[in-house]
Amino acid sequence: MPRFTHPFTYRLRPADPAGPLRMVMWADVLVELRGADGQWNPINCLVDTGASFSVISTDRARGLGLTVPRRTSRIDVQTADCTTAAVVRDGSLDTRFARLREVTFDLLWLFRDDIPPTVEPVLGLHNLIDLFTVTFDGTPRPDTLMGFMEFVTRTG
Amino acid sequence: MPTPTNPPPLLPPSPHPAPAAEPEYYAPPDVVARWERILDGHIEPSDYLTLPPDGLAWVEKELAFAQARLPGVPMDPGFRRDHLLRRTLDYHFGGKLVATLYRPEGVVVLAEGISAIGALLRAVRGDVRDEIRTETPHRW
Repeated sequence: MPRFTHPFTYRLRPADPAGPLRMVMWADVLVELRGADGQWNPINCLVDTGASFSVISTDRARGLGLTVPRRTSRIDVQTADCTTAAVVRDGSLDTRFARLREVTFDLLWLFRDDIPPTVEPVLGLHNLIDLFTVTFDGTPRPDTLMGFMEFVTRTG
Repeated sequence: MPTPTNPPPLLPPSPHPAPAAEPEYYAPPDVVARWERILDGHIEPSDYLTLPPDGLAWVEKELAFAQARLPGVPMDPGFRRDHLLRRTLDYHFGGKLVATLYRPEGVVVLAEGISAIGALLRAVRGDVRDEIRTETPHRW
């Protein structure tokens, strides 16, 4: 099965004198989305196993020349600290990982009108896990000292 | 027959402020000339972002932290390079949406903000388009 690994990224935050040195980690991965003109657009995405959907800012999608659905609907968005209503657009985009360009897949995306384009897109569970088995592994290797994600295609 | 009405919203609106629309961006000729020069491969040393000494010292501390997870095994040069480039972007453009170009010598920021990035993507040739990455670096 086609597969690739991608390292976790990390930072050290300056210490608050009242607390320990903080290390923060992100599961980000470079994804390419095909625009309306057929061009691939590499964008940085966060893998979020706590997210139901893959989400992108509508403004960001438009700016990149992606096909943004015209029909809108409302959903309740539940975050860690609140639940709010948001205007969204349901669509799918030809998607591929920059480290696995030979595999193009149809990923469902939720375009959110209320988030600014600076917010990094999120890869959520639906329908990513129908397409890929994703493993989070903290084993340090010389090229992935903070650990890595492994993406393995499920459909060959 | 009753007039149908929309049901009242059950939840409060999103706390995110509605994104302010950026004005339509028209790249000045000198900006377009810079894009064309860089994407033609004529990148000058000053095009690459650099990390000042205070930032570099902090990044070295971060790299030592990572190396401590695998003592005695040399760090892959690619790991060091990727981390250094990410943190250089963080230092200069943390929290901002940018279009970037990565080369073995370093990273170049071509445009900042979705309007400028849109203008850039419309202006460039197809064969280099898929090398232009958009990302929001983390805040330093």
